[in-house]
Amino acid sequence: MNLTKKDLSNAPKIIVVEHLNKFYGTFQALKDVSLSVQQGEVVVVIGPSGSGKSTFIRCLNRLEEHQSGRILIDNTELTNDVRNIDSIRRDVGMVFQSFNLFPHLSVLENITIGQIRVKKIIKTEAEKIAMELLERVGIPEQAKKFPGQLSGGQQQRVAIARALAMKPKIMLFDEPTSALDPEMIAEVLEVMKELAKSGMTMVCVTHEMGFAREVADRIMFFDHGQIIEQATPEDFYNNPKSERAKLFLSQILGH
Amino acid sequence: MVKTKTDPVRWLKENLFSTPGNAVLSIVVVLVVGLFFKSLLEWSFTKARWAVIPANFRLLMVGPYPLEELWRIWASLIAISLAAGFSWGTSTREQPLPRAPFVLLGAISLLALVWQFGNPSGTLVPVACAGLVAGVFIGRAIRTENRIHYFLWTALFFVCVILIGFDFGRGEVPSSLWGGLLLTVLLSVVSIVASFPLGVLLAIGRRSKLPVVSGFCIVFIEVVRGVPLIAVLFMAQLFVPFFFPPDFPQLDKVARAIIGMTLFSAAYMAENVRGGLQSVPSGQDEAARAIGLSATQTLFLIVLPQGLRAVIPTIVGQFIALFKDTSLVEIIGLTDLVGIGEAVRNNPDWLGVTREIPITLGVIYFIFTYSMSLAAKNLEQRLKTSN
Amino acid sequence: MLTSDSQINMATRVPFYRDVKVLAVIAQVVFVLLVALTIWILGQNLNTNLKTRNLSTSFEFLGRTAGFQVAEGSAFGVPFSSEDSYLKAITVGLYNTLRVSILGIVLATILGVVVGVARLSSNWLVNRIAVIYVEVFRNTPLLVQLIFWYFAGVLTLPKVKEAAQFGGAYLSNQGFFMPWLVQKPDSISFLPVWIVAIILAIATFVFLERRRVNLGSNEPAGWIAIGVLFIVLVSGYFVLGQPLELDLPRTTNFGIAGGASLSPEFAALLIGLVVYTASFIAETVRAGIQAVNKGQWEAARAIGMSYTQTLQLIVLPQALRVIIPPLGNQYLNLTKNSSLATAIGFPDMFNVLNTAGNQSGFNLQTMLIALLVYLVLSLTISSFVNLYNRATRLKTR
Repeated sequence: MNLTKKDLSNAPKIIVVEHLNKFYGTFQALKDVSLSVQQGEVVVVIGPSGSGKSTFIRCLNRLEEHQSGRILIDNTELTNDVRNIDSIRRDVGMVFQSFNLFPHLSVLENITIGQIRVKKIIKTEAEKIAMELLERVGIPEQAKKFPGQLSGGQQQRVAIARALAMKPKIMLFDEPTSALDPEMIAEVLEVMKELAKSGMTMVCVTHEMGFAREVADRIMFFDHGQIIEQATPEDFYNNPKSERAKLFLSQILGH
Repeated sequence: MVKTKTDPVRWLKENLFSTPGNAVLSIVVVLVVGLFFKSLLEWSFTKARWAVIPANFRLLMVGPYPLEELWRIWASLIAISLAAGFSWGTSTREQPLPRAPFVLLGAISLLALVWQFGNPSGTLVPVACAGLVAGVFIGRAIRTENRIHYFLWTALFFVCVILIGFDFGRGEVPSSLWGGLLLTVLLSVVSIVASFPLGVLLAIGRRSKLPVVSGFCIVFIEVVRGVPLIAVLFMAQLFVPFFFPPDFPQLDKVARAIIGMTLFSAAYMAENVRGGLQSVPSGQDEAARAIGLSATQTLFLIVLPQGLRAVIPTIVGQFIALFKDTSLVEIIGLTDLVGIGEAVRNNPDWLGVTREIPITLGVIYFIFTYSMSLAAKNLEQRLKTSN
Repeated sequence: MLTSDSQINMATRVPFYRDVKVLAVIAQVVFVLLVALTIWILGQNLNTNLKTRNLSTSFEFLGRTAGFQVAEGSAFGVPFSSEDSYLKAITVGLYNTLRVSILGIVLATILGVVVGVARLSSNWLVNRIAVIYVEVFRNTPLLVQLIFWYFAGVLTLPKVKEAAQFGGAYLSNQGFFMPWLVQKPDSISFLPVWIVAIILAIATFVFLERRRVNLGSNEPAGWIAIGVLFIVLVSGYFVLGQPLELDLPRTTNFGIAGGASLSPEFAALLIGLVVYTASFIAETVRAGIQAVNKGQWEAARAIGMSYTQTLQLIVLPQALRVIIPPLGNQYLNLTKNSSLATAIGFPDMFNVLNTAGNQSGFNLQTMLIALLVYLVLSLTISSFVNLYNRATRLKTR
């Protein structure tokens, strides 16, 4: 079954999730979720709010702990093993809805702190890498400023640079544009598109349908903690199979 | 607040006589306050024997501290003025020099020079003021990193404690000879400094996900906060020696008081710090973990710096409270400011002098606490605008 | 589609020293061991010290004769003499602590609210005086204030012979004395009448309030309730055959006797605690009222409420939610601060315990008792505050 646009038939599976279950008390947030993502693939996760899509990607780097099932990132299983958790966190970058930049550190320090403290790179080298990344996201002139002095869009671009500085194999995006004013969404999406073109494996939770159509290799539709449907963007938008997906699409596109 | 110059009649009308009720209120208040001030002034210019204050001024300031060792205190004072000037100078480098504080310092120097001419304080008070001014200019001239203040003040703290107590060839000055304002300041500063690391540890412990650790911290914090300081001080005096091996050298009264006040203050510090840590959004923790920082790194590099910054004004507030609370050591027999005051009041030479001493003590405490609370307010404003 | 890849399966068997769950348990065990070790070392030292000093840890001394007089107060109504036990002496102390705390809390609340409201007054003079009051009393130590009130205040009042007199009351350096109604000897107790009167008055008030809201009648419920209280008390007085008489204070050779009295120590402590705590309560009240959104005033006025209605029905209920928790803290502080009584010789619980400890040598036990009682008092007050918080939270849903 061809679910993706790109030809990734030879690419290794970099994320494998099997029968994942997650509970908050008695509420089941994720129900028997299984999927795999290949290297270089861009997966966009959509679904109504409270459908478990955020919980799902937060499980991928252990910001949330799952109760049963397995998660394998680049052939390393996410277990209680500290060493595995540390190595997976190093391989997986994450961008948050509310940026979560460190307000007491300058933009440059935000990007270097992980390199220096986790990867033990010397400061000058780390700063060089940071400046290159700031160049890449288009705001090298903001390096000395503090996050509070930047616009939302600029902050989110710094957050992307901060994640990229760790040289991750996978990037997770948790609604990266939901907290932004409309005029700033474009600049962040531009950076994400560029990143996708460069061959980064990406899992994005987003409502940006334009972005999904243009960049995604695969759309994954979540509802009530389950994957309801997986398809290429064309298939999904043009003829969704499930009733719930049809309803969801009519609600977000129908206005 | 009156912003523009309005004519006094209109001002009176708006602020005192806006309604008939207000007018009656104003007149009654003026009468009562006037009567109060009249009798206060009458008393303080005719009956009061203010001579008791200058006659015992040195006692009130330093207690029984030996006269020939007073240079230690002057040296500490001058060092502190220099450092205070320096910190003030660096932190206001971008602003124009204010004039009022310098006029005030000049006035103090002049007053000391004239009033105490020939006495050591006649020359040393102006020297301390000059040190402060010099510090301001040095601070404005030199480009420094913010970090230098931490080192400077930590070093200064130890230098002063050593300077005040230790042996310099002519013997040490035992803590039993420390007294008056000196002891009050020392007790409060040492206790707040010592309680800081303890309080931070307790706060972190209370937030711990490990139930045993958080349970222990909660019990300690809540028990100490539920008990009056005076009980803690008595317990420290009575029982601290019990917890040391029998052959351990006896801790003196001051050290025991410091232990009691530190434990007491740590519980309150813990709650303040916890408030600061709670004000750091959980996203900060998640972001730090997501880029691979360990739990310890996250705490010390991300959460604590932000949390502590948020509670600096609260900690100043706690210091003010502690500064006032040190007065309780008088009850366990130490000669702090209040202890000396009581000794003077009970001195037969000054029989019948009852109000002058507590009023003066009140004024001394007020000067310290009120200026600190102004500083805290200022700091709070600055922190708010910088975010 | 479970892949049985051997390399992957290897990873599921985690060595214990890398398992986060196990590490958490280990961290706790290490912490417990460290704490236990510290406590053990301290306990060992304590034990040897107690043995070498021949100190006991039993509480049997509580039953022994105290042998000292407690200057004032009683064991909740039962008078105390120096032949009574330590336990009874401590009970008298507790009674005195509660007496001064409860009276202090009531008066400090009244004064604090008045000053707090004055702090928001549009009258410049009133406003300034409130500010000065708050700053002066908040920024000086309570102990200095107590010393002032006692040695420079109450004790400098005129001697008994020259005591200031007004309407049968005396003000002297031996305390404050005023006429008081007391039970006649061999008469029927008047206490039940008080209880009945208060219950009836409250019931009347609640009933009239309900009726006012439900039926729209317009009686002044407060005044009627006070009237009911008064009528029940007076009729009770006559029905029981006039069991009360007015006891007037009079000067004797030993001082002043009769009537109700406040000792100089009690008066100074009460004034000190009330004046000091009120300055903090005033700030709490001011902050609470200012915390209520200005829009609330405007909205209430817009639906036609009067100034008093707005304050009573809209602003105060919201301000109270902000005020009550810190107010509870202030009550707690007042109760704890009452232990400063030691400094001016008022026999509160801590003072009595300290005396008992020093005299009997059972300091360890008396301090433990102090610790426990203050903890119970603190927990009681904070649980009341929590109860209030819970109640108001439910109401807002």
